[in-house]
Amino acid sequence: MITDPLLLASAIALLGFICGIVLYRGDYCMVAMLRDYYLIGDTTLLRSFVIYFLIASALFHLGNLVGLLPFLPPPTFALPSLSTLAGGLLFGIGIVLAGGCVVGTLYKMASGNLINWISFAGILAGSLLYAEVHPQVQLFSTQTTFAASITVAQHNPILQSLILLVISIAGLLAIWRWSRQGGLNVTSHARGYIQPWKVAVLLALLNFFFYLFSASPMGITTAYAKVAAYLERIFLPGHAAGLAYFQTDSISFKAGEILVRGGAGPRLDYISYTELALMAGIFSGALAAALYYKEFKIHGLPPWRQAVAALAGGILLAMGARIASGCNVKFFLGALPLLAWQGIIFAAATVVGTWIGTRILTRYVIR
Amino acid sequence: MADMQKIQLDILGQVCPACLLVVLREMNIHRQQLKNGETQLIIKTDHRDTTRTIPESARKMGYDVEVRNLETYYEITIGKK
Repeated sequence: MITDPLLLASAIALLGFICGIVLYRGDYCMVAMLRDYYLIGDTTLLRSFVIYFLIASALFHLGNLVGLLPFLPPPTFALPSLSTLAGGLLFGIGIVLAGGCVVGTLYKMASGNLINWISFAGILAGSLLYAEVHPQVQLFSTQTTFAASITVAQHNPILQSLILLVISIAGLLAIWRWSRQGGLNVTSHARGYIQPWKVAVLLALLNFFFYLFSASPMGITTAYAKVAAYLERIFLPGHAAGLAYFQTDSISFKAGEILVRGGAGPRLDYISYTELALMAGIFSGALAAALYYKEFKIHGLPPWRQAVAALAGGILLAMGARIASGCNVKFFLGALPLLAWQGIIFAAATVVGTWIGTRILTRYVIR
Repeated sequence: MADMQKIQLDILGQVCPACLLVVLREMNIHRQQLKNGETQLIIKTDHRDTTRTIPESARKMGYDVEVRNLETYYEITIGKK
């Protein structure tokens, strides 16, 4: 881990910048990954996720084995509870209505689409709303914790090896079959397009370096809460100062002799150097790509139904992510390949949530 | 064909997947005219991924598809050539 704050923030921002370019060029939307399967049976992005899973899982576990990634489970992970399940469900509904997840919203904002700026505002609002009910949610989480271990490996290392072995064999067989059926490449007419399988490989590498530099795989939603906290401190300083969520650290761990701490509060800490730096990096990278391909353009306001849905979706997804204490970035990209319970439960709930969200979207929003 | 009906769909600045859904619906409504070559759908979109999903879906239904890179967006034409 890089313990110097400035160095850590710079390294993470650089990773974020590359990530932003890659996500924008591949239009790699993790909402579309599930939603478009429900809508038109498109599995292109889901297939690429299998590739992501295999590479990330191998990199994370091998990295741990050779001592590069000593923090396993990572300090940002926790025990699963009913909050993980409820949060995942809300999050799934929210991301479909918002037309993007926490990261998708960022790279889509960079092209000037106002709908994504509306969801961005929704995510900030949802984070503030959560701060009001944080103590109650936290109590609920502690009361409904249903496992004594963070990862499958802690529960039973043999079970973990078996699951990974089965997934690896099934995954490799599937990839082999897809490549025989006509390859993994798809046809897109977008400028500077990067094939989904290549985005998956790059994302796995970027997340490995994020893990290496910061002791945890990528996470980003607490950065939104932090931005919201800074804003609330400007407009309602008295109220913000009284909220427990902004006073306490959500993360605290020891890296050697150094105590590392971070939370959603409006101050410089570990979250600023990691999640906030990643957030700034992704947006800048995507903006650079949008400008380079001359695609940045503000087209005016979307139809009102879509605007309402985007705002509501942003609020829902932020509430969901806060209740589950993480989003698809932390849980799909980090916790799943590490076989952490939170990831497995959150992913299952999100799969259901996105299905519900898709029904709402096709029935009430886009008509 | 001089009397071909051209239906313009402007989906710029809308939420993803509005483009995909609107186009699927229009393809269904105008199925017969599209098959006969009486109608063309011309879509303006800034959703990069729809330059993959829409041509794929339209070709599966047996239509010709053409995608053009214009200024800051994409124009997808669906119908018989």
